[in-house]
Amino acid sequence: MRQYHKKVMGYCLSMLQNHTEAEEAAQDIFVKAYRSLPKFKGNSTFSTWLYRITTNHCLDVLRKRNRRKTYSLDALVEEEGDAIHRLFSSNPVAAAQMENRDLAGKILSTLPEDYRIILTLREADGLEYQEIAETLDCSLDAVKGRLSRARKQLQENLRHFLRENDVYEEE
Amino acid sequence: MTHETIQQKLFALYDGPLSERERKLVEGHLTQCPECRKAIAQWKSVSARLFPSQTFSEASEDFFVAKVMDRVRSSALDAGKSAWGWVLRWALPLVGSAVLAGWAFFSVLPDTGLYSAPSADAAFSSYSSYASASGNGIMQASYSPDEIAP
Repeated sequence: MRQYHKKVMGYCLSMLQNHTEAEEAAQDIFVKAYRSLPKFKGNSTFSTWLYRITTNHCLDVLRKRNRRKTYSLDALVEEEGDAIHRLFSSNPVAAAQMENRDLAGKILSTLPEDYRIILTLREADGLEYQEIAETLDCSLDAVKGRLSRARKQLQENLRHFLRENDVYEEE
Repeated sequence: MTHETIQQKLFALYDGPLSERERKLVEGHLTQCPECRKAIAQWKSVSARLFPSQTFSEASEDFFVAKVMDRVRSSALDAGKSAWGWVLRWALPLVGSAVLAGWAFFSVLPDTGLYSAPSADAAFSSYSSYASASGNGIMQASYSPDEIAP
């Protein structure tokens, strides 16, 4: 469990953007996985199987969470424009702070669900294309295409905040 | 490779699954193309801010593991309880009803007349009608059940 705690918790945090909910979800996922262990046939790797459970559980939580606001891009820019600007002008380390994490969640919520999932699997958890394909039960080409479209849309959504030259200079 | 082809491979380079030959080609292109460098740098910037790496202390990990194990144990107990719950809710009443029904069928109902083995009345009636119909002289008269009842 220790081996997968960071990955599952990180994925839940990226998907749910709320520490308490993410921790609760991660617990549910491990309990569910523990109970379903006899059903694990070894057709995929254990981590892929666990990611599948995690994805489905996070989607369930998101669907049940009707009260949670999903942000339209315009509303978000209007409400949080300055904060987004600060986020992209600041040191990336500051992005891990709680308020920035919330803001990141709002930005990601402007994306369709499948784009958010694939970006989280790739960017937050560092899964390889093949692992993503197995987790989402789709082809490698579908993963590449969806990932590329998701990145394009996210960059397009953030284009006003990515214009400044200082943002591009990394490392 | 053209600039467009390289652009398609840019993120594959970032994600890692390029062959050695492709990787060298894209990296070579990157040193000469500011536009592609900018695209990659821009994405790294977005990713670093929207998907910051998460760190968890050992203590929080221990706490998490302990909580999950508690839940696993209590869910195992709950499963045991729910099996007994099923027995108490369904199996016991069913068995009880069956026993009660059996007892009623064999002990109580015959006395109430709702369930009756062929009674003396019925036996007598059927015999008297047989006797009068056959007219064999063994029993010419027919008696009403009241007359022979004790």
